[in-house]
Amino acid sequence: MNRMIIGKMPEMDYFVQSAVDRLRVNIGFIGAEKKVLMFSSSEPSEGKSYISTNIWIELAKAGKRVCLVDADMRKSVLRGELNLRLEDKDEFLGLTHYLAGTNLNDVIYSTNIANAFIIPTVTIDNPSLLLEGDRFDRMLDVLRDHFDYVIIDTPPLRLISDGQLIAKKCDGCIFVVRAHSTSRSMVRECLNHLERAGCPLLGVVLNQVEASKGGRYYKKTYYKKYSGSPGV
Amino acid sequence: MNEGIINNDYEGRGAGEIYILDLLDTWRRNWIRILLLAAAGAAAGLLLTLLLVTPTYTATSSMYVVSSPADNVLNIADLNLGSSITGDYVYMIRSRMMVQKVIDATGTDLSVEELRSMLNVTNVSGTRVIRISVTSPDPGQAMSFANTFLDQTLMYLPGMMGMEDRPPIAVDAATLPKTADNLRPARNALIGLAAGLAAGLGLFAAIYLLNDGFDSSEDVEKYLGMAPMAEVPRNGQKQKGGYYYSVHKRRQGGEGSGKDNGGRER
Repeated sequence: MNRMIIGKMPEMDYFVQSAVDRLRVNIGFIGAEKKVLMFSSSEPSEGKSYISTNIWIELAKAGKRVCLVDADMRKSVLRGELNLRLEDKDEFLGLTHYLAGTNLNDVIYSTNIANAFIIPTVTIDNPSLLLEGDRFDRMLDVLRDHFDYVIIDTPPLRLISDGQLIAKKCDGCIFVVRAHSTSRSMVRECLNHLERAGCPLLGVVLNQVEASKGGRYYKKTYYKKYSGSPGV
Repeated sequence: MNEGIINNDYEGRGAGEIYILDLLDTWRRNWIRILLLAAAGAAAGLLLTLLLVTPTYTATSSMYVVSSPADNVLNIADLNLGSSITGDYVYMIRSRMMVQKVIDATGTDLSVEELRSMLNVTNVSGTRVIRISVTSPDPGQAMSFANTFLDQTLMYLPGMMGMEDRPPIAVDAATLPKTADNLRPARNALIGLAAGLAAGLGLFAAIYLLNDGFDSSEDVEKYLGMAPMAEVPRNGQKQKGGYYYSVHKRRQGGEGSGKDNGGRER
């Protein structure tokens, strides 16, 4: 298997780490049969790629074999954000190539994180036709057999249909909502898209919550007592 | 096995629904700001009263209208006549002619209309007493005019009206008013307080109604009918109470580490 080096690890402070740990635990409660999990949102910049990347890493650290599929073929950010580079090849192949006919083995990469595998992508203008074919389904069937979890980072649901096409093929969706920003009506609209695609909503992640506006999460006395982090 | 945290049968609140308890909770969470607005309103009412309102003073003289000649016994006809004579006097005192006499007597440079606007002549209900009130920013002037009106009325009107045999009687001369009758700082402060309170309640009600986002897990529960799987804070932000939790550069097995701003496009 080819190897991809993650050149830039996501940084998380204590609270973000705790939240991602909580998400990881909650994903464990979903059920073993739900393996193919898509992460989506209403609009760009809500943090779904950030969340999907971090949960991929945390699940891998927890001993699960996890494959991250970058399905945001119109506007992928993972390659740049993670500074992905090939260890021993020149040609960067990804999901787009596979859907166009390349062998699946050529687009799956192990990484420098144990148990964490990735299918990156190369951006194209209109991947809808590629997604409508059956190669994506076959890919998921293979990944289901070889991995504990398949995390799919999808495009936002609201503006384009790619997310819905992918949703039809997934076991469930975890929907990322940006706090203090995304409107409720927009979220409802996207959840309706999911429903029409027949994809169960497994849960919602509320991202980028401001401490001054957020709920119960930041009681300083609680974290002062339990965290032991420097600066507390 | 858990059947999944959620299926698609989530039941959250409908769009556009207003929940009174939520509104009350919004007010409760912002009670300090609302009180501050109310206090600002009270202060504004008080300051406006003290700084912008010109105090005015009212001096009042009064007279009694006699309806029967001095040497006659009062009869029914005299009683009936009394009320209409009183009305006549009220009208005559306000006439341009009488006002001009007062101007001439006092030597003021006010015009007839100006002085008339300061004058208020009333018949005390159920009586034949006429009150002559003059309002002015100068209390001395108010007193002077009120007494001059009384004097000029007693001097000229009975003769003009053919009432020489039953002239009116002066009851009270006007005294120097000591307090302004339009300065009510306490009342205006209360009005300001009420206005500020209404503005505060209205402002936060508008904020509640216009807020279409999700600010916390509670909002996700309310509007989507489910608790979130995770509530992820903005990376590296300053927490409540001034504690700053530095970004932990957690090495997660990769080479090097880079900055990750949760606010950037992901």
